[in-house]
Amino acid sequence: MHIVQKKSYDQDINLFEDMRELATYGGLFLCLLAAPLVLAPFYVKELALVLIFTIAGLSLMLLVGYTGMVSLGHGAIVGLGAYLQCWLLKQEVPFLLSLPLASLATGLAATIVSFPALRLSGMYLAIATLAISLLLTQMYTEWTAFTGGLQGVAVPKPFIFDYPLSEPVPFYLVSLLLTTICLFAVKNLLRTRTGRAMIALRDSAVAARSMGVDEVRYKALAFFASSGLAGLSGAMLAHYVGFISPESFDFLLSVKLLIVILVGGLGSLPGAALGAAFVVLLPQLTSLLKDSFPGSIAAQPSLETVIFGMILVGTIIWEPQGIYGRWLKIKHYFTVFPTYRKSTFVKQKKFVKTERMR
Amino acid sequence: MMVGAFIAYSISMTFLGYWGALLITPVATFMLGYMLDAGLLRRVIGQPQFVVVILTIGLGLILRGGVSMIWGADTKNMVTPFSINQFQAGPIVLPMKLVVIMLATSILVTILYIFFKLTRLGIAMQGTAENQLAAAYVGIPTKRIFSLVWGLSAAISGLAGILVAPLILIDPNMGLVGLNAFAAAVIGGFGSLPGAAVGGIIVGITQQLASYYLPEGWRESAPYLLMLAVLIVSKEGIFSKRIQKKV
Amino acid sequence: MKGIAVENLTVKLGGVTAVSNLSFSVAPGEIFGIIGPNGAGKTTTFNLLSRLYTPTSGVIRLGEIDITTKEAHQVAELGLARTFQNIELFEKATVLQNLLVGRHSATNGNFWSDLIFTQKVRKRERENRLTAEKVIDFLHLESYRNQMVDHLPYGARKLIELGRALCMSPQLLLLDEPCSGLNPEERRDMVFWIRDIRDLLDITVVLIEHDMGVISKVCDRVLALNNGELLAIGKPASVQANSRVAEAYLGKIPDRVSLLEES
Repeated sequence: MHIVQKKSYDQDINLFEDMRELATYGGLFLCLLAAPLVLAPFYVKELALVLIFTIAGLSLMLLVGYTGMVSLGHGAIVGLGAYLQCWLLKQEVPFLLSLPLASLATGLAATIVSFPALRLSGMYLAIATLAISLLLTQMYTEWTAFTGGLQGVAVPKPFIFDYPLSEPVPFYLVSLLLTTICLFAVKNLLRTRTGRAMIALRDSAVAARSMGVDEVRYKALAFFASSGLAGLSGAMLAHYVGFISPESFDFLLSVKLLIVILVGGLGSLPGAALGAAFVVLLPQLTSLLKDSFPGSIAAQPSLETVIFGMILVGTIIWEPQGIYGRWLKIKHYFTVFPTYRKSTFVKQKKFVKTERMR
Repeated sequence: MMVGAFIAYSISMTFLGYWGALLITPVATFMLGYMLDAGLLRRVIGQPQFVVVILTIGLGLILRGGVSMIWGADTKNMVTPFSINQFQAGPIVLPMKLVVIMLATSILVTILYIFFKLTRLGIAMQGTAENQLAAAYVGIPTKRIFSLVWGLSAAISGLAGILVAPLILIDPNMGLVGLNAFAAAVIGGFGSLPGAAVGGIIVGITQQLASYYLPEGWRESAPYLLMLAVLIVSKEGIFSKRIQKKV
Repeated sequence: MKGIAVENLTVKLGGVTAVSNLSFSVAPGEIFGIIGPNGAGKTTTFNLLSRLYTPTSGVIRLGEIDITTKEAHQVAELGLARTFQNIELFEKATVLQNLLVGRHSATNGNFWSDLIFTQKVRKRERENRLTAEKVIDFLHLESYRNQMVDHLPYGARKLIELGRALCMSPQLLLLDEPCSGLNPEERRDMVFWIRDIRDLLDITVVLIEHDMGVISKVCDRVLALNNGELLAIGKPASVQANSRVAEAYLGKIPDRVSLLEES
């Protein structure tokens, strides 16, 4: 069992506790960097999609897992980033500029539109975000000058100083860089005052307010950060698919993002990556399974819906801490072997009072 | 609601007809709701609220997909004894099906009001909703009550499905009209029954005005814009009744 | 150190007048106690002072500043800290993280500089950690430092609540039943801590307590409440001897005498 000796406050303040952790994640990064050397271009592109979904997962994880605010409409916000990126590129804004601009603009716009709903909490906020996502989708359909309406719009190819990014390998490397930056940024938030304020709001808004946390301001900040990240992932997603329309960012995308954070492990950063990998690999899995299903069921287009639903239900009932939670349990098993007890992880049941008394 | 509509549709096509469907569907959906709670929702009792929300979304997806697979995804029409007739009261002429809906709703609301206010079971349900632990201590079988509540809610939804089916046609996504109810609840204020009714009326009027004055497509979205506007002005809506948490 | 004063404070909650025309003032540097039977309105008063509730009428002044219309987080920034009767800790975080949240009102910060973690942010984090460690030292919480709060025993959690409030470097501290659920030894420790908080840390203390022993040992003045109204205010001995206070806790004297006569 590896015990970390703490010799200075900086060890707790730093991103990594000790050299071992740094080496582990550094090694992971190097492996990912070298991936194009060993994988075929198709798989490199798939990996890029995993990275894009990781960013989107991070955005929702920050909001739901760390600030406790549920959003059922993040798919539409991702769409906002996609459309903004597309529009900015059409205005001849260089890619290097359009990406951060699209991300910031998404963060700002989404926060402004959702601001009245942010003071709601729990289930009410969730439904409000659903309503707002419907409004956004409506806008994508109606505002044809900006979005091209129901027919959709082709995404201009990305270039950095005339170097084309549309090839799998450069696109993948840019995605890797962006994901690393986003992870770094989110980790920074979480180890400082702002992030602690958000976590405080999740666990006890009353106590947080009494400690000086301005609830309205920090909820808005959390939503801004989350939407900004979602916008960034949307911009990259637009380039990945090449052609976007309001249908690409429907409720099903919001559900996919929820699966990312739930199946990955709510409240953890690795969870976003694990969940993203799961969601991107899922279609491959289902096509493999389709062969074992009787023909009539397999042919249905709504099979995807049912499977997503079953995954959501299954995760909540059997593995609420997601893949990352399962990984921690496995690590724990080996750490305390042979004294492992199943009851270590049995959750205490809490009885919930009605939300009316808020 | 959607499942109820589909079940009613199938039953109405058999010899039992519309009235048979009207009787059997709420019972069927009641059982569905009860079993969903007893089987699935009970297992997540201790967890925070949004987990349950996500669970229900998952269930919704399964139901929607499942219904698509069983009945096919095309829209269906349900034939009722009132589809054709019209109702005339002075200068106002209304399609009979609308009158039936209004009548049925009023009767249902009255029955529910009496149920919750006066019957033992109704009061037990309210108590359990407010404080599960306390309810358990006084001997209320909380788990069974929750399942009953789900069953009751499902039964009412099923009934709503039957009533509204002639209006909006049956298809797997018809359940989304339920979101309007949320807008109505926000506008009228949570925790207040007259507020919900007022909210509903406002939503209805807004939709009609929107379809008349605004371009196509805004009809559905207008209530949500109004909802956001109301939220900007006040957190609680027009008639709300929220009490501060005691710390 | 700051004092706090209320004038004609009234609040109606859900049809009940929880606090009615209450006026008192706490001088800077005092240890001020609030007693009263259950339901008297003591915690409600605290909630009013820390602005979690809004008064129906009346004025609240923290030091020289009128805080009647301020928000709870603004009042925290002005130097008012509090603990909660039923413990409102951040359950899914470690003790250290709970304490560090307490530093929020005492420090400045900015979303963007936090995002990129500038050197200034690092310096502030070190300072926060130093303050939190001083509080851990003061309350002997070393062994709990990196443990998750939801695993800890009740006595420890009460101390962590106190520690979190102290991390705010407040001018005024509201303690809601600091001794409830503690054994006699822990209560003795708490008495020393409350005195040290005032003497060593220069913090005015207002506490709600049911334990009369603690009240008489530690308080300079005491306020007795019943049904949201002021019954008596003054030195602990005189308030405890006050007949109206005794009546509130024990019932009217004639009732007790007649009970004895009948038997």
